[in-house]
Amino acid sequence: MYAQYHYACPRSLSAALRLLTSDPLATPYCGGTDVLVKLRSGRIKASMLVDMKGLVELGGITESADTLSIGATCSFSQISRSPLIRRWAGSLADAADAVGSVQIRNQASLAGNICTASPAGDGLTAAWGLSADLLLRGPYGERLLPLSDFISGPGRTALLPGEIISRILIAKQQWDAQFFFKNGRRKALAISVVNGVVALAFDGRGRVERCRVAIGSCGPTPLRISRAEAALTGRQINENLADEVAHIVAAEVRPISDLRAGADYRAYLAGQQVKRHLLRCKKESCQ
Amino acid sequence: MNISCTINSRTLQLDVAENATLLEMLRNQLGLTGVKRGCESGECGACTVIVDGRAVLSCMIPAPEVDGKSIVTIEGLSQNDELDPIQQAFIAKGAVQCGFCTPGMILSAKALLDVSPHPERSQIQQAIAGNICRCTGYEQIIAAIIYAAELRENNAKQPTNL
Repeated sequence: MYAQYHYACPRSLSAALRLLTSDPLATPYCGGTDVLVKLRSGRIKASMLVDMKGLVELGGITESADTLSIGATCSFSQISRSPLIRRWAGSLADAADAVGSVQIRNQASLAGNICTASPAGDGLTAAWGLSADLLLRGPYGERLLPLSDFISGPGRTALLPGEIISRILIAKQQWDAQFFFKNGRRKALAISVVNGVVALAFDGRGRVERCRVAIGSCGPTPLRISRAEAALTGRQINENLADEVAHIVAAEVRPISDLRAGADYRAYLAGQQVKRHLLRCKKESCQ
Repeated sequence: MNISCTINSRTLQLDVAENATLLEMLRNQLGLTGVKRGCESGECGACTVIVDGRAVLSCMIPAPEVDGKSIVTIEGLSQNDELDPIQQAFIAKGAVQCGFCTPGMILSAKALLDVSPHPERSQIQQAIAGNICRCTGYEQIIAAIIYAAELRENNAKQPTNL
């Protein structure tokens, strides 16, 4: 026991929101893999842990005509196993497989990963690359916010007091290929040195029609590399274009040096990973 | 806080501290010291137990959360004084050195084999990637889990003598 706190397992979302609103130190949690570690190290204080896992409104992975809706309590294991996610958001499913370890993935949720707002979060980068939106619920009702507006820096989010993520929404877009990549110090239980998403849709003539390039762990938040996306759009992928894009990515990212890697290495690696996946797509003739 | 849960096939009523972890409940309250306390930050896997069929880290679960759940620890594996095939395989293949990672490693292996009775080597590697072993270099452990899959299959073929 590292800290004194109460435990609550509310039966309804309204009861949960009342608990969270009534006490500023009431902390919502799902898997607990970040919250418990932070509680122990004293980085956060909590009077009460509010277990959100039982709330049906926050569970399940569903689809409408144009949107995937991922419940905030869905674990990475659930996301990885979901045929809907595999069908529409394969890079997110691959990111889910890259998080932590089997045990962590069985516990930790994507919404928690997003709330932790680590620039290196694998789930966060994948959701960023797919331009996810967040449905938030709080004492004042519901609001929708793009993920890119939700995160303002390491550990900093737009959550208001008493507010939670209820669902993560991803537009159903047709991609011919989407990749998630990650480099860490080892394969499991490693915080990413660089991670990222490349998603591509081709026109009928082998040219890139739409694309996404997003890089994590190379700035205060994950970054969409718009210049790389612009360079790719309308062109056929070849070695030269992939090199050009790699240089753009390396120039656009804003990494820092820390105990895991130097800034120069991170920038170079980010570019080379994007290049590798562009060429992989060409080789596997995704177009 | 009063909870009811099934631990190693026995249903128990327990009064747990609200700020206790499942790890603390199992070790301190129930004396199940096969659950190892390692890093307590989700990085080593020594505290792995199986809750409702899934391998999880008991150091990261508030104890009140397991109300109504079913938990398996290493103490629950042997049946009628006979070691579980996975335990037998770990002994046979020399997969135990200092032994500190072993309970968690075996439970991760069990959670895998219960859903994938014939795993590929890569599946085994992935299943135990969250369990850190600083002695063996993992090779003997992987060999043990492959062997355990064979033992379990042979046991399943034999008529059970009750």
